[in-house]
Amino acid sequence: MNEDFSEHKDLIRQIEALPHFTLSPDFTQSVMARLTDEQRVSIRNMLRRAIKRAGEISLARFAGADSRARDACFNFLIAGFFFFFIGSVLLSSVFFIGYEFRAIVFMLIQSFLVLMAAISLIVGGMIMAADSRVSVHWAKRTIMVYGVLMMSSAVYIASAVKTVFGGLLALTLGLAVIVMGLTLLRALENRTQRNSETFLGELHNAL
Amino acid sequence: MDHDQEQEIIGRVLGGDRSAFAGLVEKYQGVIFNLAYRMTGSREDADDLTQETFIRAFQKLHQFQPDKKFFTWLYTIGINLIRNHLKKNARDVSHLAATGSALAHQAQENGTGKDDVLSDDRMIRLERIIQRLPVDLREAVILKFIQDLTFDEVANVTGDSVSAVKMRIYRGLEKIKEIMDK
Repeated sequence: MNEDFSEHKDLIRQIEALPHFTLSPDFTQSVMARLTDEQRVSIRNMLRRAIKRAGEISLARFAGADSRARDACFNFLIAGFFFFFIGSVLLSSVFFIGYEFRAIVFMLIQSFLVLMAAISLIVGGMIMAADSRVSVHWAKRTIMVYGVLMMSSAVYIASAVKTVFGGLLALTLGLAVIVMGLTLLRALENRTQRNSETFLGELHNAL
Repeated sequence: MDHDQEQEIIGRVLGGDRSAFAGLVEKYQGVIFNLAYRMTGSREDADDLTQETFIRAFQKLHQFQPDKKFFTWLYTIGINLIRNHLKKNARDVSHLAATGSALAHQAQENGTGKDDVLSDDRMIRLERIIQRLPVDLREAVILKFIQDLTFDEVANVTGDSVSAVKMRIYRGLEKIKEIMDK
């Protein structure tokens, strides 16, 4: 390889002669207009943004969203309500045990973990319903919260029920949690890919 | 605008004078847009990526080290956004068909061809060939010969060594030549 590419002199000259493209005259103005909407990332601004986004959540907006956004939202909500149902049954069963202290503690902790995971997923569904530019980002965080809580539940089962059955149950629950988390992530990915197909959607992704 | 003036503007922006940032946008919008346009082949995407580059630069301006060159830092932000964009849209090449007419239009506006280096047809063909190069070769060729950066600057922007940059440029040129000769 020649350091100054002398064997490609003509080609380089042709490349250098290619025209330069020009932007619209109001480009600087549009960047500056966007800057006024943007804020430096800080906890205060994130909280303010989250509250603002919460105000955008409405069924009307959900009805207008594209089908993949609705699919992602539906997946989150159905999973969330399912966990809510399981958590509620667990919690209510505490009142019928009445004598075994360890069992009550176990049920309370498990129902707390399951209910928190349910709330996390329902919040994820509501965030997707808002269909704002930060929805996917925050919905992923709710999946993380759900994953951590349910894995804790599986670990707790394994440590409390020290039998082969207990181990198998914890393992099965752990696998189900992972599969469900991946399914929800896939739903979000589909939503992102749908966005990438349009210019405005790409703006959504970039922001 | 020299290095000191740039530093002064950056200082003003960091001090809260948001409007001073317009000077930097004005100066570098053309080069970033040209890089994005040639890398993506889509005017809309290039426009969007250029805007995003400046927004990111503004948000991260406090991380900029004053002893470094602002434009290589800005290019690095731009090139990372462009790479991510291309990765996400790897299979979408539908926009490339529209590039030819955009190039011809731009050539007319610029009066290209006055020094007879390239006819319109050859220019369009060359652009298309460049756009079909692998991303790493394409960015190296564009940064060096169209954006007119030095080898060191290209290496800074892409995060590679100078020798790797030279090798990529060489491979890019070889590939262009090979396709043109077919």
